[in-house]
Amino acid sequence: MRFTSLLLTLTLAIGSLSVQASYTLETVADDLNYPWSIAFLPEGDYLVAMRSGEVRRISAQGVISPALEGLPNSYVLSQGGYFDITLDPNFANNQRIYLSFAYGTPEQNGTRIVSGRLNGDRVENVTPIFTVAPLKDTAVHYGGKMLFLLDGTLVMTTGDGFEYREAAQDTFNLMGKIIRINSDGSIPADNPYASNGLGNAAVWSNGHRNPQGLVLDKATGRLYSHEHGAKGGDELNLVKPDTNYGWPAVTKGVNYSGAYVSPLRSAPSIEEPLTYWDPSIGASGLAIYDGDAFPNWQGKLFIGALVDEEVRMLTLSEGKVTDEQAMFSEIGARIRDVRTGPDGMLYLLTDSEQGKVIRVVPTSDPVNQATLSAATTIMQGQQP
Amino acid sequence: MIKTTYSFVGAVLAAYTLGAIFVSQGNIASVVALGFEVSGAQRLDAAVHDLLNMTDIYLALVTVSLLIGLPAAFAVVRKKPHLRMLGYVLAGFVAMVTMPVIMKLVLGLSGIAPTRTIVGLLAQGIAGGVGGYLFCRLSAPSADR
Repeated sequence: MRFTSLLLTLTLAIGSLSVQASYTLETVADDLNYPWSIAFLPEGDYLVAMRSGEVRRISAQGVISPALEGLPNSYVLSQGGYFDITLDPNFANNQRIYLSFAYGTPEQNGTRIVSGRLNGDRVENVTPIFTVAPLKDTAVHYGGKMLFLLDGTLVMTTGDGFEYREAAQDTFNLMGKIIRINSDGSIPADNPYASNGLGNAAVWSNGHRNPQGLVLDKATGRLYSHEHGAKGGDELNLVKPDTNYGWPAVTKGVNYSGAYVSPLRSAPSIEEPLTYWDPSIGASGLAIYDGDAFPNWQGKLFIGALVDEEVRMLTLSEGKVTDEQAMFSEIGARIRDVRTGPDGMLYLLTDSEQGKVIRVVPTSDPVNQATLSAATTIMQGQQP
Repeated sequence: MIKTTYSFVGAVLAAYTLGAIFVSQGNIASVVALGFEVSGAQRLDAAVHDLLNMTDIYLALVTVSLLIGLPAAFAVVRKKPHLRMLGYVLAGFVAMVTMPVIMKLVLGLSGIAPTRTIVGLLAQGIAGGVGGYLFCRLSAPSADR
């Protein structure tokens, strides 16, 4: 309570100093154990998957449920745990949800997708529909971001497991890839390697390190992804099928030791990133803003930054990044995920044991302010 | 004491230089094995780059490794002077092989990528062995040189 009062005071102070402030950061829910991703339910509730290995349902009023029952145990260690959660495109009729998570044991683990039917605070008929092979013995670099394409197929990013980075170039190996499957786990017939024997049938693109940002531009159908580099070399990519993104043979970054991973910064047949960061920003979570609340943000990409503890807003023009701005650094936390909500607001997840769901709302819109009264206002800022 | 110090510094610099070059070429070997071409100029550029840029972590690791390994060898050599050369070379070798092994055991990950293979691991041992050899030569009594 004292904390809330302090923040409200801070809000008023900043608000009086900054008459042009145009957004407000509201805490929808807090004290979440490493929230990793968020899904928006039609009636206004949220599902938040946490790396600690649980999914909680958060009501529109910010009430946090116990962990949903019926979901599988996860291999929770280091970067392993629950990752992404997403709704079936036909959720209104089938109530199906999809969860990606670290599955297995210390000696044999990997990224798995399960699907089940959401019924209140319980998930029923939970079935594994896809598991990355081969399994590995490291607890890092799982990828794990998922989304449904416009054709109803499901794509997911997978990581290279750190120790197995060369696997990202092996089209028969599912590590370091973006994979594409049908919602039941079967393989779409038009996947690049579905029938030609040149790779695993699930592979959509290869040469990825640890992609933890994935977003579909619904207006154009373009798929964007970003991936963590090592000490440098985080990349934003336009994802195309049967395309090699280079890792580890071609990269713009260096390893943690300071040595080159590879001396090749570009090569024939390797797709160039739209942009890259060196040193790394710790890119995590990716959204295209397509709401109405912030007209100036329409079509811009928002990327969470774990290391830099902020959000990067990128402007794309004719396939090129023409502007980049740092935002929301006043939160002072690692940003794990960024989403545009169905209400047109931007949502941020902070990465800590006391992680938060933060909603970005315009301060200049009294209608929105009235409907968001249940949330706690924490801070106001300046819209770039 | 001064002689021992500059002998140790020389050993560290030799082990670091050789070890960094082995790391560099080990990484390139992995890239080539994936079917990519790396020119001689790119190899040289990578070696120079890595030598100049691995000073933060790798140089510290080499220093600590030899700081443990060479005094341990000294304790043996003092009692068995005829094993002087073998003792220091072996100590450097073992120290530089042990360092990535411990990192893997503690972190679960290989901090120095080429040491994921036995060849890469032994190459680090060779760099340590050369460091030990140099320490042996530089720190030897004048009459023994």
